[in-house]
Amino acid sequence: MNPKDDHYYIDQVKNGKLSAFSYLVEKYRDMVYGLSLKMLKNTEDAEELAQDTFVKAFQSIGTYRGSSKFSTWLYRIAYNGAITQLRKRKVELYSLDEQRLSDQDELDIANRLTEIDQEALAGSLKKAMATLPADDQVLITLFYYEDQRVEDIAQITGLSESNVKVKIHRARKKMYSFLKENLEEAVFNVL
Amino acid sequence: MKQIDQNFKELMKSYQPEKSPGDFTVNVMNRIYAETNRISEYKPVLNKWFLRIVYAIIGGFVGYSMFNTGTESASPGGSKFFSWLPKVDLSAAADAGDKITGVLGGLPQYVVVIFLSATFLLLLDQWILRRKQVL
Repeated sequence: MNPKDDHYYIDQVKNGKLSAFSYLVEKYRDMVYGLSLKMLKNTEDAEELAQDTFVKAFQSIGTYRGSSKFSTWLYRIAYNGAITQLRKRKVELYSLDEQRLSDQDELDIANRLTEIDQEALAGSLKKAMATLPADDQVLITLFYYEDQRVEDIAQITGLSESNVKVKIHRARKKMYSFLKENLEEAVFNVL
Repeated sequence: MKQIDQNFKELMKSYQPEKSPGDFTVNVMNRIYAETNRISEYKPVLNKWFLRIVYAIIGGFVGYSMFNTGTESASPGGSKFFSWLPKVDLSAAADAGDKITGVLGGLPQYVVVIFLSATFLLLLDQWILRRKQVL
């Protein structure tokens, strides 16, 4: 066992060494903050929610049994906190336009995107991400960027696994649609 | 994993997620330390009302013992001054006091030491509480 994995630090915190928790905060801070920001769309609220998430995680670390990954457990706390906040604000979470792109279209776009420079690609991805509803942004980030499994995402969001798969599929298509348009505009501008 | 997912995963490696503020970890840890201190905040063993009653009983007993000893007043003038007041019959209380004194006088020395130590700890308890409140 790697002595420096999450469980090593979790055990230390459980044994009363509070400072060990800072390792976990440091490791997951950006992800929890990013998730909060995607959901709440406001940096101050996102920071507060992200801090609350870690404080809650610390308070209930005694109940964490290790049956799921620590990150899954942590993201679930953050996600639930965001949902509670959004319900208070009465924001509509779930809206999605289905895009009509075939799998082959997606592969073609992906190939073309690999040819553009990294900075432009990063910018396009950010813009494409912004076109998605908050919950879809979270799903895409968890699955494609954070490498979380569908089962874990289902646990975090409280959705069924099949629902997670469908939503990821649709959100990815929507992002590809945006990227395709963006790419065509860029080519048009060059010409 | 499907090829299409793999491709998108490759693309997403270029994605730059939002960064948390620089002092984020410090802020979280400060909140956690504050939370931990709040949980372990010092609380006196006995509440202040209970202690006030104990002090009143002890004070009353000491006062009674001081003023009910001896047959002559230390200040005859004062005695004359109060001589017009109706006399209260405290013989029953005096008997009770004598009995208590007798019981206390018969206590073994180690019991007295325990009693005094407990009193000292209670006073220390109050003193620490006051210092905590000042800080």
